[in-house]
Formats: sequence, structure tokens, C-alpha cells
Amino acid sequence: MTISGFFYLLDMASCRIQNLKPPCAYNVQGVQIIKLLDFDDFNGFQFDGDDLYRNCLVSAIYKGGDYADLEVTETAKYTSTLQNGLYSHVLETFIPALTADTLANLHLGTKRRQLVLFKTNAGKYFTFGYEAGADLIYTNQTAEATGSLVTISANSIYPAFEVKESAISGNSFNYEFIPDFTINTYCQNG
Amino acid sequence: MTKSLDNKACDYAVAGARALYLANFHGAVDGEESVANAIAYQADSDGYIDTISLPTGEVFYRVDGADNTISFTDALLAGANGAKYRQHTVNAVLSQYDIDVLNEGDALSLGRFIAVVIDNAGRPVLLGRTGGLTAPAGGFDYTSGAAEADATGWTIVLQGNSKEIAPLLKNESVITPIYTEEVVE
Repeated sequence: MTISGFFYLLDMASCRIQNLKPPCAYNVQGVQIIKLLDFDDFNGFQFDGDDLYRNCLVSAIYKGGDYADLEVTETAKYTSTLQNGLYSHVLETFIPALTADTLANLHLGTKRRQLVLFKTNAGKYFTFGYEAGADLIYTNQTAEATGSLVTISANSIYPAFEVKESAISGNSFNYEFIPDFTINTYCQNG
Repeated sequence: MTKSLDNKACDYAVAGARALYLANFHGAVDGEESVANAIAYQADSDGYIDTISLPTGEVFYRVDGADNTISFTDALLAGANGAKYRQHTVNAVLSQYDIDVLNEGDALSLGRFIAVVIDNAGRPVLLGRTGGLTAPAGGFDYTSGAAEADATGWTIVLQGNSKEIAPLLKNESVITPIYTEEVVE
């Protein structure tokens, strides 16, 4: 067997799903926090262990603007479906107000694309809209509470990524990515 | 399980609760230091919570219910797909109908809180840490009664789903700072 063949086999061996045994814990439904980041302000993710998206865990978010918080009601929910290799991520919430302010912001939201972050009641943050952001649409209503039903959705080749809470704390954290060139290995010629 | 559960309480036991403290809900983080927009909880090695750091400007508010009206429950519920979770509920009755209650009525009806209930054995129990407690339908109702001996007062119910059993505080001094009324002379 050649060396490259050996590594190929190693790689094949690692390309297997592991046991799916969640921890023995309580399981609360629902969403607690929704944050939107304008896609123009989004500069990229750092994935855990500097790996690519293989482990689906984001350890830092590079961005240039502030998050916008969205009201979260008890009925807020996230679903994703997979069809023909394409994920459809959908997040729904309700803004229990019909005012100039909410209408202006929601209207603007429909014209922009957003990176979506949300925290479940089980305590973990997730994100979607990694490639091109997510669409926001809304419907206004005055029956069964006055307000706007907001749906944020994206089609993606990626599943939802979990985000470490430390990547989100504060709006200025991880604001700027400064490459570390103090060790001049990047241009050494031996 | 990891331990036998022997009955350590060779003592008198009374049911009921005697005090209720509320604070505005913020997300929970671990640690001792106060954090913006989050409440930091620190647990000791036994699992008691020995520090609660509220965000700057936030305090605990004491709610004095009528005699023998404060209570709490911590229930195990099961939902779809075998999901088990807990539901924390705090009950109290305020007997007064005055401007102070009316001014706080909207907050109690619409707000989201964490609660500490001190039972009649002196144990401080923390409820709603992970998701907060809110008033469900009927959660802030007044009844005047019709006859002289009828029950009267504001019934407070605060309820929320939780992903943990309500933890114990180390002692009552963990509940700090407590709101004090400023007297203008």
C-alpha cells in the first residue's frame, strides 16, 4: 500500500457518523433570543479548532456592525428541512406591536439580507444564512393579537451551526480581525 | 443515581413559604462578576448557589403576601418526542388594593422575573433561572369578595418552563441587593 493510499484509508475511516446519544438532560422547547446581523456587516466565522464547518461549531464571528434584537414570543420556533441536498431554514416569531417604528424596520428588513442568530430555551445559540444571508418577510394582523408575524428563511447547503456563547457576548467583541504577523513565518524562504 | 437518599431531617417540619423576592429576568451565565444584560450565578462545590450578581442597577424586590399565601411548585412535565422539562410556579396573594400595587401591576402582569422563595424551614429556593417566570392567564387577578368573610386580594401566579430543578441558595444573604425605599425629607 502506498503512503497516500494509507492516508486515504485513514480519512475514509474518520468519515463516519459517531454515536448520537444526547446527554441526559431536560428538554425545553422554544426560542429565547433572536439576533440579526446585516449580511454586509458579516465578515466570516471562525470554526472551532480552525477546522472547516465539519464540526458545525462556530467559535468567533467577525463582523463590522451591531446585532439587531428581535422580539421573541412564546410561539417563536425554528425548523429546518432537507430536500434534494438543500436545507431550508425557517425561523418564525411575532412582533406584538403595529407601529411606525416596527413597520419601517420590517420593511427595511425585507430589502436586506441577514445573518441569523438565535438561542433556544435549551440554552444554545445557532446560526444560519452563512452563504448569502436570510430573507425576512412579514404579515400584519389585527386578529389574534395585533402585530406582525415575521418569518426569516434561507436555503443553504449547510446545516445550522452552533455558536459558542463567548462569540456573541457583547456587540464589540470580535469586532475586528487582526492577523498576527509577529512570527514572520509567512514569508520565510528557508 | 449516585447516592442513597437517607432522611436527614430529624426535626420538626412545617409546610408553606414565608417570603418572596422577585428580580427582572436576564439570561443566566456562570461566574461571580456582574455582566451587562445577564445575571451571573456562582455555585459552590456542594451545588448551592452562593453568589447572584444582577446587572448594574437591578435589585431584588420583596413581595409581602397575605398570611400563608406564598407557595411554589416545581413540576416535571413531558411533551412531544419524549421531551421532559420542568415547570416552576410561584403563587402569592396581595391583600392590599392601593396605589403601590396598582403601579406595579403592569410589571407583574407583563414582566418576566426570576424568583426566590423562602419556605417555612428557611430554605431559599431559586425559580425561573433559565427561562424566567411570567404571569399566565389569571396570573394577576383581583377579587373583592361579596360577603364579609370572603377572600379578597390580588392573586399572583408566575410560571415558566425550566431545564433544571429549582436550585437552593446557600443562605438568604445571597439575595442582594434588595430594594430599599428612598425617603425624601
